[in-house]
Amino acid sequence: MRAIINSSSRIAARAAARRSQTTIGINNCNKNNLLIDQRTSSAIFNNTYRFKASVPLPEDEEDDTNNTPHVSSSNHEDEDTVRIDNNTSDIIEDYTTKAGTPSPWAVFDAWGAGEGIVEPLSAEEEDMLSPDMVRIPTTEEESSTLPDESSILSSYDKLLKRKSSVHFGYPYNLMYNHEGE
Amino acid sequence: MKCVQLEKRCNVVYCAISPNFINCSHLVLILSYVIYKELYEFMKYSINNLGDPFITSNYGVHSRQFECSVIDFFADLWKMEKDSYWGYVTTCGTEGNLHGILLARECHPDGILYSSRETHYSIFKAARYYRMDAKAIPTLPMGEIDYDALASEIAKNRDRPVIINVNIGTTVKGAVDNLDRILRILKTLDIPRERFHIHCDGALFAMMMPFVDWAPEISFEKPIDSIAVSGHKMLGCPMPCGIALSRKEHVKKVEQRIDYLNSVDTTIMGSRNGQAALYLWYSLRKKGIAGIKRDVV
Repeated sequence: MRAIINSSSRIAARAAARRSQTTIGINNCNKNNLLIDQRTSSAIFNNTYRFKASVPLPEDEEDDTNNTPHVSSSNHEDEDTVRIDNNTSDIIEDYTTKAGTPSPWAVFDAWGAGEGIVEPLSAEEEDMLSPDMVRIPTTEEESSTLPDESSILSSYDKLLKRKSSVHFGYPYNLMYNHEGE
Repeated sequence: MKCVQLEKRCNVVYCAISPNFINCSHLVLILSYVIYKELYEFMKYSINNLGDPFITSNYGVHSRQFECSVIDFFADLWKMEKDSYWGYVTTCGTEGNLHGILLARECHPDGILYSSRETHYSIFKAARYYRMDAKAIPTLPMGEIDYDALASEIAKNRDRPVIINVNIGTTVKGAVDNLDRILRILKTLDIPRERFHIHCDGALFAMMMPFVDWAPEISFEKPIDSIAVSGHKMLGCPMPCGIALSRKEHVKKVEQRIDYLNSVDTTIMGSRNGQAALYLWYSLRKKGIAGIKRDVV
């Protein structure tokens, strides 16, 4: 009986905490007048991290599991539970699409750059770093059609010089909404 | 002349050229200096391949184009079809094993991991980290897994999926588990493809096997799921590194979008050594298939 009361009070407490978190999140958004589309908001408010099979067993079920060998050792419940725990929105199917904007260091807007700024790569130099050019040949014929390593590395050196001439830049996505955390 | 240059640039190499101090590790240092000297200029950059190698992140100072090229090479070597594979340059063979076993657990959360007693410690470490049930199978005198013992253990636990780590060169004896024989055991026990997962720990030998005549074939044309190999052993990369390669569909199970990186988290480590990918690429480009074959044979 005591176990049942404890368990139900725990569930009620968790639900209350979840409600209060949601309210705080909405207040913050209003206060800062942020425009959050449907996709972003669902990602924020369902932002519970999933820890798949490493989730500890619920205390109340521990004894049952010990009594039944050959039952799943992990805590994978049905598919729905897994989805609730997943912080990745179902809407995002192609992860190559970008949700935010890249940091200035990624696009290199040269903000704050002084005289040390390095010229951008020419079309030929950029081409030198394309997947076709840097691929590792598997035949002699293929090898003869590719540029030598020194030319590739020279273009690469120039690229890195340019990218790091202002700041190494830690890769923050400046549109990342920290309020949602 | 070369010796004079070496003396100027590196104290350790200076010791190595003195006859009193020559030993194997010093020789490796000298060789790697000579082989990789074109890359030393890049040490001044903080090259970080954080995030997924195939997806652009916010960080511009990376070597992901070289990393992808290295992965493409190994995918071709182990006969994976275009667009069916995923991989990355790891910190070492252990990280490749940790990744391979993680994918196995995500595909079969209730699976039991079987591996021989002479397996590298990283495999059982992975089982411990991921709270997996693991069984250490006895070995034959030459270090291979005891196939009869393996069959008997799998038969005892038929109700649970099978995860097998196949050793392609054990740590001490260099024993190679016979993949074909293991697949025959699974077939005999009537374990369907969707109920088993095979990871190959090929730290040393996985990249040598394709070049050895009559060696057992290790390739993704067979029902295997991932391979891990070291980059600092056979290829002689001067820093610890490795390659993890797996079937693309498995990686979907672990990927998580990371907003602040503008990329996807699919790897074990976050920040990853971009220098290692560059060195591996350089080594493979310089050697080519013919060079590797020469080294192996």
